[in-house]
Amino acid sequence: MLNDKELDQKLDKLIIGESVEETDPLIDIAKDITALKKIKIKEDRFGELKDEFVSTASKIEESQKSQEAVQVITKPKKIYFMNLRRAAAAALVLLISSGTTAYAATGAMPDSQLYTVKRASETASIYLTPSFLKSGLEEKISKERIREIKYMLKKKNTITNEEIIKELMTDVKDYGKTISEEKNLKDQIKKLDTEFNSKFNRNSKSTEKKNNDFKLEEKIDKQNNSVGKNKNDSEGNSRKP
Amino acid sequence: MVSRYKVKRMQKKLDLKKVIEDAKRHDVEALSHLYDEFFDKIYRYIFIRVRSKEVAEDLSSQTFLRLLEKISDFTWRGSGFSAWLFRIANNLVIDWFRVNKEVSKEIEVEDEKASTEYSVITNESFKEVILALKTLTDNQQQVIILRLVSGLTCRETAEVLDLSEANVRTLQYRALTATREELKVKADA
Repeated sequence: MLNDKELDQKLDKLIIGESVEETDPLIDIAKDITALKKIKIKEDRFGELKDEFVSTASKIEESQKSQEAVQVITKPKKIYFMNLRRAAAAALVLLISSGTTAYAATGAMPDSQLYTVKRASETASIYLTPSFLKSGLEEKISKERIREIKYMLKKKNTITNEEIIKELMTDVKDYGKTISEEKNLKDQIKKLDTEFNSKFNRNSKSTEKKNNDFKLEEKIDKQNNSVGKNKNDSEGNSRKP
Repeated sequence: MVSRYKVKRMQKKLDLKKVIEDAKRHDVEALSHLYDEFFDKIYRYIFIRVRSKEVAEDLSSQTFLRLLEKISDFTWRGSGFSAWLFRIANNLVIDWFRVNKEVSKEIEVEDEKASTEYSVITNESFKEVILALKTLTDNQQQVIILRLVSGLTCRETAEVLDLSEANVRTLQYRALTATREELKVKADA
């Protein structure tokens, strides 16, 4: 019978498709399992899903290009001033072409595929707004973030949602610094922070429990491993549920 | 039109690092290539764990949308990309199990009756193997699927599951022993 290191080496060969001339029963089982590689999604469904992915990727690429063009205009370097007209024209064309998508994305929430487009167009509008009008725009964006956090807080307590809200909270706090005179907005941010902490308190406990469970399992592994050197694999079965 | 990555792949000149660099700039062709390269592996990994075709399709799509969001944060460290992507998939599966505890139980019951969820699998022996894997502990199951079905290396598997390589080797040894016993019991019965 092979030990775990020898088995691992044979499996590496098996995985890359090399033939393994071994009569060990574990290798036979491994061959049966590698046959599951034949499981595939239906081709037409794969095509549909890929189309969705590519169209989202294209939207992001488009909005990124328009953002880059905007950055080119706002850079106060001489060389860019020379080409200002050309760059402005390019930005305009890109903005108009991505305009339909950006318009559709205005009401998008963080769990929507169009959300990235919405955020990109927000960034672009910040670049385009003159500095004396910026505070008004930032306040408007903060209010939008607060609306999104409220929406996300109504959703289920998942790790994904927790991460999304955390990111939104950071964003809204950053904006909060620049619009500090708006007391009402600051109060709202504080209130949401408390709500977020109380909602996900339970989640952090479950993560802690998961970590503890895992540490316990690792401890058992180590113990079994040291016993296993003498008794081969017989105690491996004791971990079966 | 044949993608430039496809041509390079055929010529065996494709450098994954270069593809990822392009994908980080949201180059659609590079992203599309990563999708072709990894979708089936991710789908299989999720399907065997959730045992539902629809859920596997949904979670695989979400994995790639998450890739779009996060790829700009990815830093190339040797072979870390597969581990990074499978980690995203793993987190989504964990989230799904957390939210759909009841649904997952129902699917398990249906599995016993060889339900239509398995319509994607034509071979009878596949079902037996999947049901045998179901009897393993969660870590053992994951190690076996990542190593033998998705084709990850021992190091990548350890990275996905936050374990040491030695731990992965022990888990895979025990998992194979337990699967052999399970299949033996079924064959005897």
